[in-house]
Amino acid sequence: MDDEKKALLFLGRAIVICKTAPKLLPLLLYAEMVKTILAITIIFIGSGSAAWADYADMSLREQGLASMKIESCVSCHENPGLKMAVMRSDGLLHDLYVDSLRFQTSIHYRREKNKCLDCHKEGYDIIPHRAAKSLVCFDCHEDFKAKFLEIQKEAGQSVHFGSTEVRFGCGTCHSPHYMKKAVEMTLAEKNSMCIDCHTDRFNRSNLTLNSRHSWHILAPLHLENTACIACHTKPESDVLGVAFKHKILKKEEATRECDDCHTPDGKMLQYLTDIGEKPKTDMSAEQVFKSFYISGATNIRWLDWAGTGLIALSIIGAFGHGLMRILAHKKK
Amino acid sequence: MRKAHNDKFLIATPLDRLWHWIHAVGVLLLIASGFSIHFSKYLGGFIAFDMAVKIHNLVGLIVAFDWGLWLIYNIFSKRLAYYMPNRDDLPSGIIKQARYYLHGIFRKNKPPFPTRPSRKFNPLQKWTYLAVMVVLVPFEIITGLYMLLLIKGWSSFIDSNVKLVSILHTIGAFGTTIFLIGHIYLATTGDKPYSYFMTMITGYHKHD
Repeated sequence: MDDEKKALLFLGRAIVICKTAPKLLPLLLYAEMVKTILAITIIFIGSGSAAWADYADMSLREQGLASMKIESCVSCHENPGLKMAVMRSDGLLHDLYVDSLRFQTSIHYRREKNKCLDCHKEGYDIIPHRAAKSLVCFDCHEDFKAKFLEIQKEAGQSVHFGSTEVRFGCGTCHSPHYMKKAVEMTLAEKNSMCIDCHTDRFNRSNLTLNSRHSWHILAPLHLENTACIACHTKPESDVLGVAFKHKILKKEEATRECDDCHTPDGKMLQYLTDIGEKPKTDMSAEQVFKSFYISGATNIRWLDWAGTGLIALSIIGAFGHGLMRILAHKKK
Repeated sequence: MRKAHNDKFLIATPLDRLWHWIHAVGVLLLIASGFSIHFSKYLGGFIAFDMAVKIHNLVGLIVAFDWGLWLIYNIFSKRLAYYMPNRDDLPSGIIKQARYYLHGIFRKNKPPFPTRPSRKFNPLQKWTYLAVMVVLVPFEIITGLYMLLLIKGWSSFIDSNVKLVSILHTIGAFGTTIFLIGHIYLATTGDKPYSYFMTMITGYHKHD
């Protein structure tokens, strides 16, 4: 009966998700939702029977579920309505939705981990699924451990690490379902790791991305064409490239120097090329002018301080002299 | 040219005033747009960046031509003589004038080099204006045109050094701003605080 309650709860949650969708849904999405509700209902009816309870206790292998095709899981999990459904103990809202087309492009899928059961070995036999440990990085990647530890060390200094709301792990940003090497990722895939959370869920300022970057003269252009980590990480000479890019910098530490990227000897250039970015160093005359030669490269800090300081002194001097003139003439 | 009447005499001809006020408005626009461009990283650009660049390019050209007007007019009208250094200027004249600004002016002393039809500028003014019009302004025009030719594609980026030139242009801009502050302030040191401004509008100077 306990199972029944849980299933009812899940169904209720699914209905709430459906209800929040706009009223005039495209026909296709509507069909998907009907399909999901039907599937959940069937499981719900099944779970009521004593026979299912016995069945649930059997090991997966015995049930023959190990050979379960992806389609059986995706009948629920490919429904975008399952987005942002569960708050786990790490403080993060977890998507139950898996984009199966994107999954098929991931390195895990291509390296033979292409069935759900290859990693999710148990716990899904009842609805809602039992809390069960899926495979984590080190279960398979023992050989990468040294590299991973290096990454962990850098990630530990990331702005994310001090968060009291979310406990960060690899999977917080890197969904195993969509795992790819950086050079294989599209820009949208790279930036979705940041934007997925920082657009709505963790946006304290409530400002749009563009207005949060409005200090930049060409913010929209750069936000559309640049990886977030291009500015929000920084190369460190004694740290592996793969490691330091996990040390996400807060805005005060992120670079604001145009020529870090846009000059042939820019210090970010090699790094950006490594992560598959193509910084423009062969810009047209107009772009060079607009982008940095005037507004960025000429900003030599001591010169700016000296220049504005002397200007301020001149203004103070003029006012002081004027004031003394007025006072001197009043005396007379 | 009209003759001086009463105690007034013409010191700034219509052409003098024309180039001066074109320069005045132009340089103010150049400073505003230039600072907006240069400090856009910190100020967010108080003039929209693209607009500031357009203003700066256009006004820069106008001021360059205006400088040409100053040079040609002053050469052909022989008024360049007003700017010509004199053996009494250096250093005694300059020191005298500087002393006046530091002491005499507070005691309402008479200026040591009052304006006369034969003497438009005091020694300090003469040397400053000479430095500004013969060194600073041409320097800004040349470095500005260099960058303008590059961005318009009329000159090749290969073997160019935009960075150095733009830094020099910026240093010149700081200098120009400092000159302008001093220039505007010292313009209030006439008989009345607005006297010198009126002279640059009407062209006439009242006998001191």
